Amino acid sequence: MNIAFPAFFILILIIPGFIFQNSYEKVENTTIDKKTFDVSSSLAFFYALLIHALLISLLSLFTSININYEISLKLLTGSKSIPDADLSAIAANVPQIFWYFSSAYVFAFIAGKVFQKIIFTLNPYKSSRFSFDTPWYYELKGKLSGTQDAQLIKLSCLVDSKDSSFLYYGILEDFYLDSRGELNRIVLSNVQRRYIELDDADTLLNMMDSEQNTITSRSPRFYKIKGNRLILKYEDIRNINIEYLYITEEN
Amino acid sequence: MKALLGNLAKKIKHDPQGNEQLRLFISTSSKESELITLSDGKKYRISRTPLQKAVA
Repeated sequence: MNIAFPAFFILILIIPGFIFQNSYEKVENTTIDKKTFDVSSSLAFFYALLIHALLISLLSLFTSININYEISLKLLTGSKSIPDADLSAIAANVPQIFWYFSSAYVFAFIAGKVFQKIIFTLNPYKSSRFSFDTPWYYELKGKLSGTQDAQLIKLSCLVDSKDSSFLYYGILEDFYLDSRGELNRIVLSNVQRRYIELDDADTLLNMMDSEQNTITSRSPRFYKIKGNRLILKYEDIRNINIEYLYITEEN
Repeated sequence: MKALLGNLAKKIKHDPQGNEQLRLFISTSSKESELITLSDGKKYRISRTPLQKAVA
């Protein structure tokens, strides 16, 4: 037997564990729980073991299909003395083997999403006992215990440029995390910019229109940025002020 | 990833008049709350602190 086959067999056995883990930890195409490779591999092995144990139990309960552990062990150990009868038995059951592993992969993906949903439902906030280890996710999704009724997030970002510092005000639309779970960039809408050097309270000229009860003039410090979305790289931001805004309907 | 954006916030953002008032509110740090009126006449109060819903 080819010496690589046991490694290949181990890989297809462990793949459900990786699929489960990936599905469980991924939200909107972003992995929200970062683990080192050794921890991740160990967990994938453990998850794969549980998934196979469950599927084999279901198979033996509801179908007449039985797993031939003897042949499986021979394949795993790379035994050179696999009789022709065993190889014939494997060849005769290729469709069942294919469907077993296909089902295991699909089951692992669905189970990952179901467990993720359960964890988010039972541990909705950053401070929850079994929350994911990605603080930015909870901060920018408004999933803090004190901000559960918030409707949107206003960000004030201080960005240094060559000669000056700018303060950007805007509504947070999207955010992107890097492979370590750190904030990579943010996307703002309704953005206004001002020079931080002009940050003088006396120049603020906001006035209220008594008839419409709305703000009708704006400070000359602010420069409206044309465009729908402004992307700021986190590495360019010196600090961020997060403000949660609340909205209620008036009668 | 999509950031926090509640249903009421979506209504305001999708309304041109409401969106403009929202933009003005977020550029003002001194105001604790503001009444925003949409094009259809609906009014929403936006605040920096949690608001209690009116009880009939």
